[in-house]
Amino acid sequence: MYQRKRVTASGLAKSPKSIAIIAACLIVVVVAVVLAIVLPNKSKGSDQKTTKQQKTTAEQTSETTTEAPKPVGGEVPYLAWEEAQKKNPNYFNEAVFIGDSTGLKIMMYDGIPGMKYLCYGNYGTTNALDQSTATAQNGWPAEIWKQLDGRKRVYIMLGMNDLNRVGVEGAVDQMRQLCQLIVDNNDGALIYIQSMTPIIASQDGKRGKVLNNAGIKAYNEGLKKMAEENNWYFVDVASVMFNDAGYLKDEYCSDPGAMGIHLSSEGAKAWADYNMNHCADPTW
Amino acid sequence: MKRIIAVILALTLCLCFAACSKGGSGEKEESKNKDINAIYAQIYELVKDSDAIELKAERIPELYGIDATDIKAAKGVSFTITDAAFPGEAIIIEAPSKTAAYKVATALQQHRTDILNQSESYDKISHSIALESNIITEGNYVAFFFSDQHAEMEEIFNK
Repeated sequence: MYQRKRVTASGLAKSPKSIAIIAACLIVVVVAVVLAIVLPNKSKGSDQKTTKQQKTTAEQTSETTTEAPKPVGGEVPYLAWEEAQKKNPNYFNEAVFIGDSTGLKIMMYDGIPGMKYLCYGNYGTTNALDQSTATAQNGWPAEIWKQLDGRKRVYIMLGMNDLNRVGVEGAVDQMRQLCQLIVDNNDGALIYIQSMTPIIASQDGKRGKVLNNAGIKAYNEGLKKMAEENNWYFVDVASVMFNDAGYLKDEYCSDPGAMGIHLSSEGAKAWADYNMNHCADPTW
Repeated sequence: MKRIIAVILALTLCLCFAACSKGGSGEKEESKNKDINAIYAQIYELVKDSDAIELKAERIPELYGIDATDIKAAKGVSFTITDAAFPGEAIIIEAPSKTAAYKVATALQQHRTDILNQSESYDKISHSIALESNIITEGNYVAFFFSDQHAEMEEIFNK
């Protein structure tokens, strides 16, 4: 009759071979369990808001001037890109454009090779200066003057979302404050203030008390004077946007049935072409 | 008895290895293959007469706040939505892994949220389109169609 051999722990422990086998298996099992715990699974994602400007790498300039070079006063000797690139082929690689929703099409069109774009809907100098509005929900950058990624040529076209809020003089002063913050926080920064583009005829006078072509004209005149006082460039890009009657050209407008101020691809091209043909640098 | 214990331990070991193989950062889960070029071509046909601008693939990381290493392939087009302040956008991205696809979707969701919040006070057209436009993920593929034709675009993507 078969008798079960009673196995006891002490019996097992008496065999060195058994001990070795069991120990090896236990070690392998423990290592496998540890690896299963330690190896990462699915990423839970990050709550950190990533903004466009935070994703780029810094491009620090090597300039360490104590004072920013001043643009030439009076008539600025602008150069077309054909001539400007001979002097500095990296001219637009050093440039950044700060804009509002009119800048979104310009950003998508990307008509200036090398230009960096920081454009946001409903943006203006009012919320650029009011840091309480720079929230993750709004998508506006905090302290935009620190988000320039080392670029020294700062093109700015803002005002559409400021004129009704603070009036012409207030908007001009806010632009001055923003430009000064940019200059103070970026060694060697050069400011290229863009004139604000006009409104299409069918929508002029329907966008509030100040946001109309008369208000825009007064604002641009104020910007030009302020730029000259501070030795900053004033690039009158709006000058090529007008039709014969003084309104935004129909073909340059993408929202004729609404605000009548946003640009089409053709308008974006006109903006890019004008800026590429009006390059300026105080060292030239 | 010793053999039984050894077999049990070996089986346990196999189970542990099987558990390990389901997690880990090196996963490349199989997903249904999509031809994003073909999808893009069909979507472009929908918007080609709407002032369409093809977005260069190398710009997409910066435009949407996506890490370039999370993109295996990308196609995008911007166009005009009638009377909207915000340009329309159709973006299709193939990520190298499901983890990367999740990150891409997160970035696009933030972009959609930005449009929603920036347009709320002054551009009802863009705001209502943003409310209806969703981020779509299928395996390693992620898409965002900010457009009044988003339903047709989603249908093309989901085929």
